[in-house]
Amino acid sequence: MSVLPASQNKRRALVRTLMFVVGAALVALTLFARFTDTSVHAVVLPVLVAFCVLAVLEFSVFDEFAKQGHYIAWYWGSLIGLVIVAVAQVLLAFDGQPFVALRNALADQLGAADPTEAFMIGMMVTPVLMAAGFFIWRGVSWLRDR
Amino acid sequence: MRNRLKVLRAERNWSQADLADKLDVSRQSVNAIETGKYDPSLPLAFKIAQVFGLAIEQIFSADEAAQAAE
Repeated sequence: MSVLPASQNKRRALVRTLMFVVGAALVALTLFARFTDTSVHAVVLPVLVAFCVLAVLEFSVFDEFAKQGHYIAWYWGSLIGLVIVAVAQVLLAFDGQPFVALRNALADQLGAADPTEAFMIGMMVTPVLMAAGFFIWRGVSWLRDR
Repeated sequence: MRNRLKVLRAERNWSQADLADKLDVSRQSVNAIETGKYDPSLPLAFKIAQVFGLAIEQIFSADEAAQAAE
């Protein structure tokens, strides 16, 4: 038997409230760690897991219109993010002056990364831009359909 | 796909939120269906018909342009 309310609308409201609370806790913990120089990894991990579980739960209580909005946003938003990564990668591989200057500026910002570090940064850039594309697309469509 | 959702809702003096509660979907979904931005699935269309006590074809109809093309 489910502990969630029978009405989908009430389920959605409950899961969203919980997500907001857990999300706010994540932000608060991050700020706390930053300003007090305290390690909060042991607390952040279960909160992060709870957020992921709630995100899965949230998708299960979406109605069909919201689900379609998510599918479309994931497709187009993340595809645009992926294309930006691919184009940037190709541009940074060129030997012309503006591209070399851009590479040097990036190296100055990131410092001299060893191959493992560089690989990890590369791995992070793609999903981050894909997620950014998704959130922008979803945010715009949500504002339009309010 | 065209629909008479807005008219039927107004006849019953229901807000979009009222109809959303009866259908157990979000208000945004009702708005998207009313404005023709989204065509509901068959189960949701049946539910809408049930809520209004009408047949599906009394609420939804094919676009004139789509009908002309057939």
